[in-house]
Amino acid sequence: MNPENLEVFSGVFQAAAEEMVDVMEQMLLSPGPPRSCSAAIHTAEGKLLALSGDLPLLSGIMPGALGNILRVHPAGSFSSGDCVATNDPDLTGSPLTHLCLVSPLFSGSRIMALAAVLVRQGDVGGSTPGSMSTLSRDIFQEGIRIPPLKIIRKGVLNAGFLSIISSNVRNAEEFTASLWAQVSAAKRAEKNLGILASKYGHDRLKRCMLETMNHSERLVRSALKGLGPTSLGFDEILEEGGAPGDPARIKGSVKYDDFLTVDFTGTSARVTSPFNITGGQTMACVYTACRKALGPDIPFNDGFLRPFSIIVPEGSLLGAGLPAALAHGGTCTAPVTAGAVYRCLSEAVHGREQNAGPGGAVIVKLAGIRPGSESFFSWTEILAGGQDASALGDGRDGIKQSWAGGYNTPAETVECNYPLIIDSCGLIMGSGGPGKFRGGTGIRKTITLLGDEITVAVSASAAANKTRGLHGGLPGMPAGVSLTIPGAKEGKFKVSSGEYTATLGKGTVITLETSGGGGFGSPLERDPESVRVDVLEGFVPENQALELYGVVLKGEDLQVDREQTAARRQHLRTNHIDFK
Amino acid sequence: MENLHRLSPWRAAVDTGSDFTTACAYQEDTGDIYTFKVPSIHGDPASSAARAMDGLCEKTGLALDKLTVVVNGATLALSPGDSNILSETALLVTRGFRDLLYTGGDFPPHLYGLSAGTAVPRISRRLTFEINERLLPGGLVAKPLNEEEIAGLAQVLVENKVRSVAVCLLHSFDNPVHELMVREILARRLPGIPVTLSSAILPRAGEYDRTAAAVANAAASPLVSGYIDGFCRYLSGSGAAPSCFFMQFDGSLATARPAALESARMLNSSPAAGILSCRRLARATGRPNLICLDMGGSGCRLGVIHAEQTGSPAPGIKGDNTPGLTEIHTVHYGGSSPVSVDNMGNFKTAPGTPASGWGPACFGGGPLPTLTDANVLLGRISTRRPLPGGIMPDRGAARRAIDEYIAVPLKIPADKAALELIEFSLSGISCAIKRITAGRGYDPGEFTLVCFGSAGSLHAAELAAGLGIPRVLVPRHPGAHPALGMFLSDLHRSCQAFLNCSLAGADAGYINETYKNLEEKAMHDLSCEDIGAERVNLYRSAEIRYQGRRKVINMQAPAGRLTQADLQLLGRSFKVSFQAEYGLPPEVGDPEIVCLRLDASVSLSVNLEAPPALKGTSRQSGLRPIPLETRSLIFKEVLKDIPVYLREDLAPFTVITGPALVEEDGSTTLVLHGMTASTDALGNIIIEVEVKG
Repeated sequence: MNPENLEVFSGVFQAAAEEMVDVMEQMLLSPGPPRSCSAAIHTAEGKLLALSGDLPLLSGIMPGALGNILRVHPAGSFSSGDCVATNDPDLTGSPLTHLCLVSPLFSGSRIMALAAVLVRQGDVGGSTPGSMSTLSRDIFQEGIRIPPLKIIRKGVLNAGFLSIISSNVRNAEEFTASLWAQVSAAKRAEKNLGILASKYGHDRLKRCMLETMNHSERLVRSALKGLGPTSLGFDEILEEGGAPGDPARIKGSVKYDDFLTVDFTGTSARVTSPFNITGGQTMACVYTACRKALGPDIPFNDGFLRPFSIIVPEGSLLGAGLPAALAHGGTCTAPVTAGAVYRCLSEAVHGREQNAGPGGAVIVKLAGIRPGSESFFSWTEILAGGQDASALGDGRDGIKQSWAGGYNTPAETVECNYPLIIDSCGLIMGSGGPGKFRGGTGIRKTITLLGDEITVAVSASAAANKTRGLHGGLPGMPAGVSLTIPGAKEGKFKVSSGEYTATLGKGTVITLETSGGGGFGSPLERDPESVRVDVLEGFVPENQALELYGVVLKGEDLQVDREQTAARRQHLRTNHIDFK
Repeated sequence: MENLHRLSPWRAAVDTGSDFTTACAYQEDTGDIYTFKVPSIHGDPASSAARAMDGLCEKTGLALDKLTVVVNGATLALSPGDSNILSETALLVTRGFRDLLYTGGDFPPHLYGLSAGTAVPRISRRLTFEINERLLPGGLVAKPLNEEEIAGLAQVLVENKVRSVAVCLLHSFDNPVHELMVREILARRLPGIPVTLSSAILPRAGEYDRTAAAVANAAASPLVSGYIDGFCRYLSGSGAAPSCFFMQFDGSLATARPAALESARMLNSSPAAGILSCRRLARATGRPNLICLDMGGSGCRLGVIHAEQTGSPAPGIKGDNTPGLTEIHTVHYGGSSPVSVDNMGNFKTAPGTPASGWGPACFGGGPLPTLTDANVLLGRISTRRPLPGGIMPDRGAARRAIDEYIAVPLKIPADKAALELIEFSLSGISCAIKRITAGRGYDPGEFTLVCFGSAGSLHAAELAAGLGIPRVLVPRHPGAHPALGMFLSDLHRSCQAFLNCSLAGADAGYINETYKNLEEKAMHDLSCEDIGAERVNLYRSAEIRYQGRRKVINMQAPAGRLTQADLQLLGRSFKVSFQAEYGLPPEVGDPEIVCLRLDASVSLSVNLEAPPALKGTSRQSGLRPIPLETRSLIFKEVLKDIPVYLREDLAPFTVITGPALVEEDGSTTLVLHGMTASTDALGNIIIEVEVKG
């Protein structure tokens, strides 16, 4: 018999997972960002076969989630048409706003596989509309916690469950629509797996499931072999969450010796603010960094996870158990963690350190009642910063995503659905980190509230942590948040800590600024013609060109003065203004 | 024979590419097909098309005054300046939104990649201007437009030598009043400069998509409308008065005026015609699953046709083409793409921008070697057969280019360098094919690889063997495959009106009025001398969704006067369709009409299903053909003598065993050792690939 074409089977499972996301996106009630949901196919034993999409840190289904849920509801207890739902971070690894639904995929009388679908809810109750306060101190303030319940038995919904939830969230209609979207997605997966089972037969399909995992394991192991014995450390400061003057630390090491061990020992204890992440999210951070460094094309499944060992101290910032608050960890702490691991790995893979890519994001949550109606709205935006430059070239300007998700919702969508006006949205001149390759520029977005009593929760993850430059490149401009509150004495003020939660009224103007990406290599080595184009296009101000890039532009059409540029650069170098 | 030609009505199709332009004739009485190919004139596609038509008439004796229908398709490349920035197109947006094209849009395709690389040309920020005006949801005017400001701006556009303008103002999909005013003022002040309105090109919510569509159109406008004007002038100058149609990227045809207004739709239309041709092959040969490989000079285009394809194509002008349900993907590994090695010893290629000093060294291009040079050096392309335009490949030049840029830097013999160059290009194409087949769960073992374009058939067998594709099909006239597809297309025009109101509250009178306007608009756009209103088919539909949800279903609406009861029926059938797809209980949410659509079409396609009798005086009729010659080819550093056949000598059901070469005008088919090739009743060559494993 011919060996199976495992690439095809990996592709089949991947396509089934992606199609579930498509189904959900079409059915969600919130017009918010795309990909605020994810889907995965697992074997009947709970091993990951395929995970949808590109949002591994925030909306991804965390590694281990399904195993945890199966411990409560073993696969053998499932009948056709059953669904289990939970948002318990201890099991799902995600914050409370993420509702996870698991459903068996039957073909005939046998369970072929299990589908897991995760949706980010706009509101799950708790102290603050939108359930994303930066002020919450424990998980009870962040919303209702749903233990793993079999909410649908043989296709019949437990009405009691829905009525408890509807009484505890601010937008029951949206919640219900999301739940149905999840159920529809699982149904679609069951249909697709059924087609495969009849095409290939149960036994062959099951065998191929296992083989695709072994195939991925082989690919990852061979990629890891290229690293050679490696031992590198990282130490990141995370100002959010820590007490003033005592910032939280993400510390650890990466070792390779047959296994890739990422050890987070030395990381700070969990914090009282909502910037903790779960052990599941930390694992997702490591896998994300590894996928990027080792092989984006290797099918991501249980086999991929095998050569890794991840050590997270219990009760730490990165393995916060109950009752730690988690609402902003996924968007702030997780990308910093993934970035730190990636920088270590890139040094091992490429021979020199590379930045992870997406810069610091700003997260804003606006929630309240639409004026002149009873209807509750909740809008989340994760606005990403400029991309870091790499050895391959400049970072992208105004990048649309980060690892924590992120999407600049069109102004028309926002204005048609929420009592808000987007006054402007554009690039911030000069915000990209100067370097031989320039970091991408950040985005400035200005929002005006049209209603009263709107809860505003903002956090700018890189407000304190500037993106960093590498190999002589300079950091990009940090992210920030400013507010103009009508009637307030101070006028426009900048939120210095980057975190802010308050209930604000009509006419309030919120200005969000995302960070610029870090530069790569000394700006004195940048091609002067590229600097000229950047100045002409308005990415780089003229004084930055002169002072940091050492490029002298002359005349009305700003031609590069080669002689003076050489002299200027020599001067900056000899005076040790080489930023190294 | 010549005289017969003069009396016979015929149709022509012209495929204007960046390297070659192919004209193709279809004789209506006999079904005979003739093709003619010329090198394209860089920067002047209209003259290229005219030259190909002249050459076709000269070669076949067909008379222009008997030409009834002519169809044009193109693969035209915009040539942006430094850093991929367009220097002659301006963008006008609402104040505060200058950077729409940077801040909006979908996710980049490769989250895990390091490189920032984006291939979409951008409007220079210097040529992006903000206008003081503002509309609110519902199209309410919050800040009126200042006409003086636009007049002043017109002056600035002139000073910046702008040749085309795109306009995208917020909420214009709901109320285009300000965009229309801008166009009117600019038309007065800047006569002759095309203005593309986002509300006209893509009347949908979401400013990024609208802007991207408007910008793509504005950028294409000078080139495409120049081509359309030029070709129409050529036809009238030559005394011919055929109906002239222009291929669109979705596989339909348009008349000259709408084709010029919506220029971006024509820019990359030939690949869509190639897919139409492949669809015909799928039907005619009973092979429902095809991987289409269109390998020409400047690039390689790929598409997958699968019997079980579902889903719907994306609306609007965006990204790659989607004729019907087939997406077309482009990779930069064409026969004329320059290849070099970097200082680490890795091969690399650049996307080809045809210009002077570009192309295979063996045709006087260069200086960098190309895939074609490697094939000439290895003997796979004959040096005794002239290329279109009469050029003879110069083997010495090919060797010099490969020596200088690959063999010497890598310190290997030239033959080996040529083999490695081929391997590099094929591995790039293989990866792309894997992504669109196995990566999506399609098993390559269930497909046939159809290859066309000048370079496709030379490499298809090798590609198929590596990918586990069991069969290769080389159609007749592989060089004219897209042009033939143009005979299979129909005239089509789609108009839409944004509505956004709940079905329960919709006013049947207003909807009737809107459909009537749409019909008038569509009829106007389709009208040309030879097509009477009775030939136009009208199809009304409404895009409906549950309020607040994304999923839109396009529901057919009855023709004639709609009543309130018809609308209720529409709502009910929407609910049924939705439930069938998603299993959602229909009580959830109210249906709303997003927009009204009208599709008007006129059937123009020719029935190519019946195979015309094979032409040419066959020098033999048995099943064992006699080779034209025996040639020495280099395979894996071993020299082998292999037979070379002429394609026109191969009668149906001929069988040849590999290794062998089959030559014809403009392309060569390579059958590898261990493979068998045969011709079918339609004249296609089918290679049975020995799949390893």
